[in-house]
Parts: sequence; C-alpha cells; structure tokens
Amino acid sequence: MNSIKGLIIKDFFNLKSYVKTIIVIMVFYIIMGFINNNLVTFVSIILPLCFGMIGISSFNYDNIAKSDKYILTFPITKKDVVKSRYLHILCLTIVGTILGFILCIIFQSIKEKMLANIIDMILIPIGALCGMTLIQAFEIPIIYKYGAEKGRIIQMIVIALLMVGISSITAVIIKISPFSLDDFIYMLKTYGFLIIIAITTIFYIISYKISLKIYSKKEID
Amino acid sequence: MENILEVQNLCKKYSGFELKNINMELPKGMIMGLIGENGAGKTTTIKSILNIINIDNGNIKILGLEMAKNEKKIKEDIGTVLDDSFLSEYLNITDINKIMKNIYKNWDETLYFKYIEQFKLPKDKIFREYSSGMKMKLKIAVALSHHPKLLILDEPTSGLDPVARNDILDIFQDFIQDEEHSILVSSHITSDLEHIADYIAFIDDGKLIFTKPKDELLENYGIAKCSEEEFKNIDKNDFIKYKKNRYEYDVLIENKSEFKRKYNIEIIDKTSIEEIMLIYIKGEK
Repeated sequence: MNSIKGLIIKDFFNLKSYVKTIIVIMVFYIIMGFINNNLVTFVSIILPLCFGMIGISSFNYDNIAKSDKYILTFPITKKDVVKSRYLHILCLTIVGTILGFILCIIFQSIKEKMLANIIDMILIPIGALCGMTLIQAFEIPIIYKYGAEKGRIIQMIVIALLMVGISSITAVIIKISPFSLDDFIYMLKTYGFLIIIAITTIFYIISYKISLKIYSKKEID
Repeated sequence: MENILEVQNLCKKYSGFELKNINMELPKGMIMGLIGENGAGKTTTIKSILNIINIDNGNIKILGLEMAKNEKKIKEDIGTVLDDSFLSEYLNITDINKIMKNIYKNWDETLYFKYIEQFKLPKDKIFREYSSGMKMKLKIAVALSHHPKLLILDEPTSGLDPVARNDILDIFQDFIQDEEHSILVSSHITSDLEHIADYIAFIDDGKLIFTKPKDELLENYGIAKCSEEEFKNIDKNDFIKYKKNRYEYDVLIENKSEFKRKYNIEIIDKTSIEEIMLIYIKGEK
C-alpha cells in the first residue's frame, strides 16, 4: 500500500503546474455563476468535470517523461500502477465535487435565493460526480490501450456516442413507459440516485479490471 | 563466487527483432558492461531483467530469488538508471524525496541529500532546468539512496562531458568496494567500460556473442595486421573474424601468444573493446 501512496503523491505533485489554471477556472465559473444567478450549474457541475479532466491529464505527464518504464523499476506491480491511477483520478474528482459544494454553500449564504433548495445543492454535484466518473470509466481503458494522444481523440468520439446513446435510450424509455418525465425526475430525486451511484461504481470497477488487463499485457517502450 | 544476477535462456520476440537465448551471470562485487550497437538488444535485455516487458521464455534470478515470483522484494534491492525515462521534469529534489520515501522501504533521505550536496545539484530548480550531466547525477543519486545491492544502468554516461563521466564512473567504483554490490551497465561508450567493468557481455542482433572478463579480452585478444598472402595461410579456426582494408587485413584473434607461435606475422596489435566489437559486427569469416 505504501508504494501506491508514493505513486499517488507523484501524480499530485505532477499537478503543481496546473494550480494556476485550476484557480483561473474556478474564479471564471464563480463569476459566471454570479452573473447568471446560477451557481449550481457553474460551480457544482463544472468543478467536478474540470477536476476530473485534470486527473486524466496525469497520463500526459508520465507520457512526456516516458515515466512508465522507470516507474516499473520500483518495488511495485503493474496492478499497483493502475490502482494508484484510478485512485488519484477519483480522489481529484471527489475533491472538485466537495469544493463545488462548499463554494455553493458559501455563496448561497452571501447571495440568497440563488439556489432552488438544499436537495438540488446535494444531488446535482453527486450527479456531476457520477457523470464524470462514468466518462472516466470509458476513458481510462482507452488511454491505457491507445496512449494519451490517440486516446484523447477516441475518448471524444466515445463521449459523443455515449451522450447520444444515453439520451436516445432515455427518450425511448420515457416514450414507452407509463411514467412521465416529471415522474422520472421525482424517482431520481428519491431513490434513483442510489441506483446511479451503484451503476457508476460497477462501471468504475469493471473499467479498472479492463485497464489492468490491458496494462498487464502492454509492452512498455 | 556467489552470483547476484543469473539470466537463463532469456527469449523475447518482437516483430523484426528477437532476443535469443541470453544466458549471463554476474558475481557479487563485480561490474558487468553490456555492449553492442544500437538496436542490438541491450535495452531489451535490461527491460526483461527488470520485468518491465513480458518475456517469452527464460528465468531471471536476482539475489538468489526468482524475479517472476518475488518482484517487489527484489526491486527493493535494485537501483536503476534509464537513459530515456525518469519522473516528470516539473518535479524538484524535495518532491522526488517525498515520492521516493513512500516507494522504497529503505529510502534514506539523509543519504539522498548527501548525494545532492556531493553532486552540487541545485535545490531550487526543477529537473527540467538541469543540464544533462545534472540530470544524470540526480538519477544516480535516486538510484543509490535506498541502499541497493544491485545497480542496473542503461547508458548512464551518454550525453555527458568527460569530467561528468569521470565523476560518475568514480561513484560506480565506490559502490562495489564492499564486494557485496554489483553493477550491470549498458553503454555504447566502450572506453568507459574499459575503465570500470570486470566483465564484458557483448550482444549483437539479439544474440549474446560472449561474456568474458575484461582483462582477458584486453590481454589475450589482438589484431594481426596481415598481407593478403599471409592471410591466405591462416587457418579459419585460428581467428574470429577479419576486416579487409585497402592494403592489409585486420584479423581478430582470440589468443595473441598462441597465434604468434603458430604464424610468422610481425604486427599483432593490442586491441580495445571497441575494435573487438567493430570487427565482430562488420568483419567477415
């Protein structure tokens, strides 16, 4: 476990040069939230997405420094490498979610009536976290298979297909089921979120297993 | 003599290249230089030994343990320097220390910072801002700071000026002084290996041509300078390979004194590892 901690620390140190960018992004979206009177969208959703994407960029740092080969000379296994990468990305996305939530609470107290209600304030960031994690679950194995450069192009195609796929399936379900859209939103706000979290967790674990299989067979140059 | 590293029947096939049945043994307290031209298989051998790539066949034993079954334990005792691979260039000395002390159980930060002082590496700069020599010294400092028993180094002196190279070679020689530590070092700068190596392993086109004590190579091997007529009289079994020059033949021989006794050839030059390698690769039989 100690070596995994070392790898996660490495990934966090690699982000040092991103700190300024992160601050600029946060300030920009907070201002946008204020202008549009909609902090939920601009902070609660954007921050987990941004932090999630920054987490994925840790592949680039290792790619540029060709670190993979060097890292595998450490007393670690390929499993440790993949596990630490997933944990790092997940941690960063959760940090973004919590930060977004805290900022919302702070600004809510400063500028009242900006948010609809407390349920939105909790459920929307969790939804964003699940959404980002789901995207990562598709994205990470692709990067392991095709590398950070090619992976980025394939990742954009996959995300586009995923969005079209999910919205089409949702539209079909709404059309053929006896429930209305409002019923679905109500269901989501009650117990539906637990199902989404469970599905996301399952996808994330499957994604990890696939990445591990790819990386174990991969020839490191 | 106890071996620190044993490689048996190592095979690895890529499309267009194959590492064929490599066998080598490195005793404790010794330095083995791995030589060969670019693409001969030196780095593939090192990557196979370190289990970075999946080998097709073979057995690697380090410190008496099988690499395949004891990877984590063995790697605690190996220090590695790779020519083209390290951590991110945006890290500084302190960051690297914090990472490494969470990677190696035996990480010794006092020793690490002692090497940093000794190598005069600036603490306020990031790795990216270092010169090539400084970068290599930092890699070596990292490789030495968890008290490894075996150093595996891939081209550690490439791109360095003679002074920096000399400093680094001194460090390697200090490392093996206690007779328990060993080094496997690949380099295409054969003169460096002539200074420090005890054994030379020569790889060409994925095949291990020989592993021999360096002194045996330098003392016994020679290059006979012959005329065409003299060359025609030499039995094929008495030389390794030859190279035809404009006016004479350079004939690589394995045993100078024996050759002298048998043939009446006046000029038999001492040879260097580089010349041996060149005639092996470029010469004919």
